[in-house]
This record gives sequence, structure tokens and C-alpha cells, in this order.
Amino acid sequence: MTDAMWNLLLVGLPESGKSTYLGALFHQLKDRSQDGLSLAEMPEDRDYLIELESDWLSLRPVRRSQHHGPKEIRIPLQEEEAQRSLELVVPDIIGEEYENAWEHGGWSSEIEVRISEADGILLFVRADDVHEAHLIDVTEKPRQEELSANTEPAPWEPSASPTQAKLCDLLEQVTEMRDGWLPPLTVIVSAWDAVASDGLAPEAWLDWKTPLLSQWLQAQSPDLTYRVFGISAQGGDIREEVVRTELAKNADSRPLPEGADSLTGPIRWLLSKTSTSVS
Amino acid sequence: MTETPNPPTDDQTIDEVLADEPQNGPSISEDGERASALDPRRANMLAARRRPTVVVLAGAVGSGKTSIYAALYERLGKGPFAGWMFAGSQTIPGLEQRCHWWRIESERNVPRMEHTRSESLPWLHIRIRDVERKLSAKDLLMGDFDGEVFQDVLHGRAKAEDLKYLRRADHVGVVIDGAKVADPTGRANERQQTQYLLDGLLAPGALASPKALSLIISKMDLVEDLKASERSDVEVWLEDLNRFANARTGLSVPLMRLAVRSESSRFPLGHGLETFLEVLSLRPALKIGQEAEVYQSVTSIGRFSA
Repeated sequence: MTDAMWNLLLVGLPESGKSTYLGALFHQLKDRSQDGLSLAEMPEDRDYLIELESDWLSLRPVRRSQHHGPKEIRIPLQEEEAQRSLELVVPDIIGEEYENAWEHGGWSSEIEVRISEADGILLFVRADDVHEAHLIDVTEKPRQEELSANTEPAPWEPSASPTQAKLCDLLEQVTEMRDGWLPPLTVIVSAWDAVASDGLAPEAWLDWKTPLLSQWLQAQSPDLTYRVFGISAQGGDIREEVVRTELAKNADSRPLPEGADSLTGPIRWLLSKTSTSVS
Repeated sequence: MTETPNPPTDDQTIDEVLADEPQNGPSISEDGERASALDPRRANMLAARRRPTVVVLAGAVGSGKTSIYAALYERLGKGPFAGWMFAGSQTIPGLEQRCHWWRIESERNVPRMEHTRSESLPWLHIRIRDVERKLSAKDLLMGDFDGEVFQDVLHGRAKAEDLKYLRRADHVGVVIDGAKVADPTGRANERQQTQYLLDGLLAPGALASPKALSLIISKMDLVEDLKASERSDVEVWLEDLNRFANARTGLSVPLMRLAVRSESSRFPLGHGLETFLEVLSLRPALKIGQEAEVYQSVTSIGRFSA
């Protein structure tokens, strides 16, 4: 029996790490207490979580769109210090829904309800898959034959837009949906292992790679409480055989790259910001 | 015969004025795709909620109006500048679309800007905030209209007082095409066309106040590339045009010099926009019937550093 329900919204484009995070988080919470947070009991509806966990343990890419999950994921949590239990409720919104919201605008009525109910938001930005805007280099003068052969530009494709533009627009749409107000938000820079060697803190990395998004977040102060986390749920790039072999030696406890936060870090931070409002 | 609109009254809200505009398109286009800018209805909703500063750039087709808006967004996409940061936008798809031909994804070798068509939704939106976050965010509602509209005004085929968004605009920038100014054979005609447009815009009832008016010379990099003697001629030309505007308004009309997307590496993206933002921020939003503060520059307006 839980004391409260806690609705979290995972926002992110396709393959930004949402499902990997859930699978790894579930496994770690089940395995043992993580910094004062643990699984209170096995979730009643756990097939889907076990599938995600299985992919994660097998060092396979965890892709939500390949699974048929429930409408929402429920994970009973135990806050050890506060001695209270709560049920983490994550609605099942796949990355394609967010991509669709960017390209066409708006949400289904079911998703609108989920957005308006959220007590906290986890926004995913995948560190090794940030599409940036590249301006034509005006310092390189094209040759005359290039100019004449280059009269018809390729049409604008919304799907090819920079990641920061898409994410800012999604946040705008979520904010509008919630009458101009957002709950506490964490930015999860996933696949942090890919950028750990840059030596930047997650917030500085976000400033550097997605300045529009970073400004958007800063400009909402003091109305928006947020924090940026670097998360490496996989522990390394599992597309590389050498890395897979190394990680397989201890698949259920992945290494924490330099500057990375623990998987429960964002959850604990959000809890600390919403503990009084969880109902 | 064109119907003459009623002049705005002191107690008329901005929403009532914008509501007079014809509804020229839904927010979702006919093919079901997302609209890239705001139609008057959605612009009104924004105006009612956030009391934006309304900006309209007036100038001929190809003079560089859309590039100024696009460059503001593109420059903010690189990080804060001139003391301002990006705080949001309800028209990110429209701004992205306008920047497309400047980017390598367009598969072009030289940056260009697509001509704004009359059927395009006109209103773009950017919210900015001072980087120190001491002030509340400022909403800019920017009218991106087909230059044909203003060519009709300067030719006398249309009346500026019928373009009701002009009367609502807190800032109306008359955009002078720097490419034509840089060309000695195009200069005289550009002055004449600009003077006709100024006369049209300053017709009774067209603007909320002549204090809304600014002059903006675009593509200033082309002027800077001229020989010293020719640059000197252009300076005289600009001073002359500025005097004309001052005489017509009885005010000191700001003159801004922009080179927002130069093909020369000497002029970085958004060159001169700091002045543009300064004018927008120093001259507060006009409310109809309310006089704006006299503009006083805190920097050397639009001057290129040596």
C-alpha cells in the first residue's frame, strides 16, 4: 500500500534514452537500496519493466517502440529516510509522439491529460545524438559552376531540425498545455559516457551543445525549478564490441563515467522538490 | 474604392485593433501540417495574454525584412548576445523554416532568404529576457509581411491606414536595401522609393505615433566594401534621407545599420542586431494614444567598428 501517487513525465525524442533509463533504474532499485531509495515491492504489472530490464542486462539497445507496454508504468518506491512509500507513475508516451508533436503540433487528448497531471518532468537529451544547426560557410566562395548548379535548395524538412529547436518547442507546447506553468524539471543528458572526456559539468555541456534550450530553461527563473544531470545508464557505447565485452563482465552494475550522476539522482532531486505536493 | 477605417481611440485595446485584421489563414494549414507562424487570431491571443511589443518591418521585396527576424533567432540559437537571452517562442517551426536556406541542410553554397508570400501567416514571435534576469521577459510579435504590400503603399495603390497592424505596431522599421544603396545606379531610385514609403506610412491614422518609426539599412556590408570615396557618398545619402524622415516626423528618427547574414566573414551573424534590440527595449511599447519616450542611444547606433 503506497502513501501517494507521483506522476512523472518523460519527455524526449525517439531513442533519447528514456526506456534505457527506466530499465536500468528498475533493475537497480530492485537490486538494492540506492541512496535512500528502493523498490517497495515488485510492481503488479511488471512484464514490460522486465522486458526493458532484460534488454538492458543483455546489453541490447532498449527501444520502447519495439515493445507493447501498458498505458502507464507503475513502480512502488520506498523513501527510506522519510519512511514513506509512493507509487511512481510514468505514462507510456513514446518518442515518436514527441516527434509528431514537433512536426504537426498538439497532442492526443489522452496525452494532454497526462501532461497536465505531471508532478515532475524528466527531459532527455542524448549526448551523442545532438543535431546542431550548421550555417553555410560564407568564407568559402563557391566556384561559378557550383553556383549555377545550385539553384534549387533542398526543401525544409521539420524532422531534420536541430535538436534544441525541437526540445524548446516541446517545452513550449507542454507549458501551454499546463496554462503557462511547469512542475520541477530535470534535464537528463543521457549517454553521458560519450562526452565525459570533454571534462564539462552537465549544465555547462548543455550550454555548449544546446544553447537555445539552455537559455530557455534559465529564462524561466524563478518560475521553473530545474537541474541538469549527466546519466550513463548503459555505462558505455554498446554498439562497440569491445565495450560490450567489458561491460558484460559486470552487466548489472555499470561503471559511472567521470562527472556522471547516479541513476536515482534525478528522481531523488525531483522528489525533494515535489515532496510537499505529491498527492 | 478602399474603405477608410475608423481612427483608433485612446481606450481601444490592442486586441481590438488586431482583431480588425482580415483572417487570412488557419493555424493548421490545409494539408493538415502545422502552421509555421501565427495568424491574426493566434497573434491576438498572445497579445491578450502577454502584452507583446509589436514590430513591423516595412520595405520592398528582397530588402531584407525576413532576414532580420531570422537572424535574431539564429543568433540567439548560438547563445545570449547583447545582454539578451532566448526565453521562448510560439513560432519556432516558422523561424526554423526561415533559417533553412542559410544552413548546409538546404544544400546551397550561398545563403539566401526565401521571399515571403502574401498567403504566408505573418506573425512571428520571440520572447527575450535580460541575461541577468532582473527584468521580466519581453515578447516580440514581429510582422513578416510580403514586400508587395509596401510596394503597393509607396505606389499609392494601397493606403497604409488600411493596414491596421501598422497602427498597432510599437515599432515600424522602414527597411532600405543596402544592396541598392551600394550600387550608384540604384541609389537615387532607392531614396525616392523610401521617401514615397515614408510619406505613405506617415499619412494620418496610419501609425499610432510617428515615434514608432525607425530607418534600417540592411546589407550594410556591401556598403562597407565600397571604396572610401563611395562610402562617403553613401554617408551623405543616408544623412540626407535621415533628415528627410526627421523633417517629416518632427522627430529624430533612429537609423540602424545591419548586416545580419553577410557573405563576408568580417560581419558575423546578426551584425547590428544589438542596436535593433536596443531600440526595441529603450523605446517602450506604444499604447495607442500614448506618446513614447524620446529615443536616446546609449551606443553609437549601428556604427561598424574599425
